[in-house]
Amino acid sequence: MPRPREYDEAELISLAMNAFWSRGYRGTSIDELVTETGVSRASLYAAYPDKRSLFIVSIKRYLDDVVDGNVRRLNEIEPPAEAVRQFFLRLVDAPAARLRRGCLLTNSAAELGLKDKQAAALIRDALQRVEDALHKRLIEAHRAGALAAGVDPRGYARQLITLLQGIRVMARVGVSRDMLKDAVTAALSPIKTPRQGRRTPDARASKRSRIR
Amino acid sequence: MKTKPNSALLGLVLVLVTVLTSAHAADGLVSTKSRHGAKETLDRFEKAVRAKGLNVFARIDHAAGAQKIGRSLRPTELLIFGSPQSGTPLLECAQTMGIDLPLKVLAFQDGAGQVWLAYNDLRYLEKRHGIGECGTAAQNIGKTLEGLVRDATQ
Repeated sequence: MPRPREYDEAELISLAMNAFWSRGYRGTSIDELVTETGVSRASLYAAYPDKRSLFIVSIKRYLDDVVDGNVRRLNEIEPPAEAVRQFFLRLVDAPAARLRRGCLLTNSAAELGLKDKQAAALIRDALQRVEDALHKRLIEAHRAGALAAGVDPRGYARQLITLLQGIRVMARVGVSRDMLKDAVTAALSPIKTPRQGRRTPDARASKRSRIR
Repeated sequence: MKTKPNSALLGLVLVLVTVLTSAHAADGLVSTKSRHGAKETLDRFEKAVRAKGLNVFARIDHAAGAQKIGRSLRPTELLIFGSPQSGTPLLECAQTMGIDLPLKVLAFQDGAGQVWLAYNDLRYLEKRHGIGECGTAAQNIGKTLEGLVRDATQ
């Protein structure tokens, strides 16, 4: 019969995730995790036979916390073009320590490449999810006439997810905020400034709809 | 031959998109989903505005107004706020900005029960009054507003 675990599993994973996020996979040792989490070495090993299994669980936690949060943020502002704009402006407005920390997925991608196939697949899937979330909003923006002529939503979404990864890497080594802001401003230039008197299907619908 | 069903499908999708987004489709309006009720969202926003030292000029409950004439509206409440420090530079640049200042936010619950907090996009107001060349005052206000709205809705 398995012994009941005498520690908070969620908190352990959260601490592990933060350690891998700040110090990388190789830079984090089981010894440090034992010290930081206060979980006994025996219990830790009973649940996670090696550092790698804890790392995979940490990446999955990051997907649930951070990546889900990003996708949610992209979906909580209307109009869609404004959601995309605010997403990137907020990114480069983050506190310096947050920028310096980067993204667990980006950091792990750079550190491990394809050495860990499972981690690499999880990271690719997560990048795809964010790309798809961007793509969905950009299609909506395109339909509302909020993108410059000739902009392909899929290609633009791919450009923006690549920009996001570039920002994450450059901020890690202390590239100036002004530089990152300039990069974002230039990348957002296909998003039109809202105009007066635009007659989109949406605008016509709002005239008809009642607020009862 | 294949284009006909496809365009019918596209038409249906467009109609659906139109119906789903119609609650906040007004030109130049930015709406953010709130995790709170309409009143609580505006309470949170008002508290943050006061904490920033800005003036709150009025809070107008449209639903309460409707009730007075025996009609019912879903929760729809407006807050008018601002400060001469941030507004005056814009008024100096274009006097007609006075019709859009002080700033306003509207908390409302849509037909699906989702609460939104909406405001006029400062870039839209810039265009409306032709003050694009008047420095960064409007952009700064826009940024502050975005932050306040984010905090109130999360």
